[in-house]
Amino acid sequence: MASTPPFRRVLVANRGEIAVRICRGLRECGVESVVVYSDADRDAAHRFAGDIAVPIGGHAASESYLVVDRILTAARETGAEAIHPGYGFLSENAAFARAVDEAGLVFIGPKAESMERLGSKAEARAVAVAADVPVVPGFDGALPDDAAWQAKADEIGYPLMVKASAGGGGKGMRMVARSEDFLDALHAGRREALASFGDDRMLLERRVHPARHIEIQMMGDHHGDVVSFHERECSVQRRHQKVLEEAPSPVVDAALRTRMGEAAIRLAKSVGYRNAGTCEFLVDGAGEFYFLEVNTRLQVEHPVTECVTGVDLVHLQLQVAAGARLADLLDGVDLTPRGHAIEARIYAEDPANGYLPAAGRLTRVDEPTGPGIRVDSGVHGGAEVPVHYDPMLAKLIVWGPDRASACRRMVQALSDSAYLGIPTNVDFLKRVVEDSRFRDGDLRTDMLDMEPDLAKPPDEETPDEVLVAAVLAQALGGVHGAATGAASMPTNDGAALWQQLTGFRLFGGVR
Amino acid sequence: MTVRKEYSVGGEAVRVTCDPAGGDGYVVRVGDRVHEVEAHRTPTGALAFTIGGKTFLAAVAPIGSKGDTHVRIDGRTWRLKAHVGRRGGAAGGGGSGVLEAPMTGTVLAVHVKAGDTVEVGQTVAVVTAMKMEHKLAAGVAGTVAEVGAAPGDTVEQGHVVVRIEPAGEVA
Repeated sequence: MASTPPFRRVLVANRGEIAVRICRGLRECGVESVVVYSDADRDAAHRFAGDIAVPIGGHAASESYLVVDRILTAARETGAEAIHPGYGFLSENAAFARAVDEAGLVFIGPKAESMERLGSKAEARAVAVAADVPVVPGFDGALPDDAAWQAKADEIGYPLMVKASAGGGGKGMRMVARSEDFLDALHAGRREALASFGDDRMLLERRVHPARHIEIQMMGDHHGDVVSFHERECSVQRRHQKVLEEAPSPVVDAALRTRMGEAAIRLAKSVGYRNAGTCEFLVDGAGEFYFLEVNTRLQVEHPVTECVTGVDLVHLQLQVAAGARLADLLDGVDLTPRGHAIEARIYAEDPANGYLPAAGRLTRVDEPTGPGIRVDSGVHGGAEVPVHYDPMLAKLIVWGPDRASACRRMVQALSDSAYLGIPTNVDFLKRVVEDSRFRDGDLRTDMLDMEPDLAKPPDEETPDEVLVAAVLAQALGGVHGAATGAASMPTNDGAALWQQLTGFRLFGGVR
Repeated sequence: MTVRKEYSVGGEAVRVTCDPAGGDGYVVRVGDRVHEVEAHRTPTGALAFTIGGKTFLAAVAPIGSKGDTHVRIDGRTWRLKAHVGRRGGAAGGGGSGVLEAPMTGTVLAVHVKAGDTVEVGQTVAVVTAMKMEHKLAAGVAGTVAEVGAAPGDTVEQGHVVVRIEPAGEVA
């Protein structure tokens, strides 16, 4: 790959682990980094990851990381030539991409027009159809009468979904298993849609079920070339939020990989796609794949692709944005997937309590190390996890020569991970990876719904060593384990302390 | 120097004490069970100890500031609740008159003021965090003794938002 720095200085318009990871990539490419941080992130890990840090004020995203003017001002004042948006926040905001362009800076991502076309579901579907990329069979339009709707439904095939065109939130949505049930479902859906949205237009869509979520990582350069970096499987989801991702997919063989990759490339080329993007598909039990959507940014789960292909996607993003040709950058690089990589997203949330998001102080953080282990982290021990942003703390990525060894490595790496002081999903992730369905690669998008018990820790008595450890931590003192606050300070007179604590609670709990 | 702790385990109070026994040795009592332990702090701040020849490596860290503790051992995290008196349960709710913020967040609404009479189950305040709203409902009927937050306030997990003096309370 080219060794000339693609830019002199780049601003990272993001926070958390992805901002840290991008800064690392910038340094590796010899590029200076500018980070921005909100008032809530004054002590956040990403603030200290760059060469220059610019405060942009505010707490909520809407008054900090989403304020275009503040980001552009920070770029102008620090002399950044380009902006990397990361994922989330402004990364898929076409108006932002355009504003960056108009400010004479380089947006490290696709053109605003591509984002607009692919950002609309209906438009993206039309683009896919035009590029001969398979879509879920369906119909979204007007028909004269019930007979015409019935004929259309029979043509699409069953089971199918009836959905409100104006829809969302499942309102008006019906699953129809048999032709004779169709009209009843259509009429009921219309009544519900009218009541919910004041609009009774309905659309039909074949139900792909059970389905796997498999996506193609792609990258386009500014010279019309698009390359596929093959698939990732992200079927382990909860409410459309990915939980575990891996590459390659246990069910994608070389032939399917080629077909899916070619489909993604056709679609991307048809809109002149530039920079990193992901084409998401649903795959059914027969190995048929259907276009879902395009994510016009670097994905959270990009590291698994990096692990099995050996490329650094952030490096490539920078080079491509500076005008380099993929053919030159990847000259002599074999992209055939090697081994197996799995990523686990570590969240501050409580799976046993409805996955309630958590915030607060991380009083201790231990991140695993060892062969084949990568941690993309946005936190450190003592860090305050703010309430204002997505509660993802870090990503744990493991690589092994095959899937079974990658699974074992993930279990061990999760065992070696400690994010203490607030609830996290670490033990939940371990239970999922140890579950026989995951271990066998028998994945489907609704697997976590089918196994709700995984959310709860096994009901076991607290072993004595747990209580022994807690009291020893007090007896031995020491910086890391020492508790804060009077209630847990080591003391010569524990009994008096407990009286004090009890009284303190009784009379109002003022702190 | 005896260290005494009391944790709520499975709804029961368990007293744990630790006495130094010379060098790295300690005698730890969990309820009425006695363990002779050798313990060290590792350079990274973890806790290494042996009980009956078996070595454990644990990470121990406080949760909030009220004595609750996380213990990570053998690849599993345990949450130990500091045992407190019968009233003012640490989790708030559950028949308690003390309503605490279930998570760090912003107070969206407070529907009562000091002196108000409330019924069991009545929503007295709403706390929001990460787009999720959590209603605080009175666990007991009684009189509002104290309101500890106003709409717009950012509160930490465990902050007492409303305290209710139960009706007909015996002291």
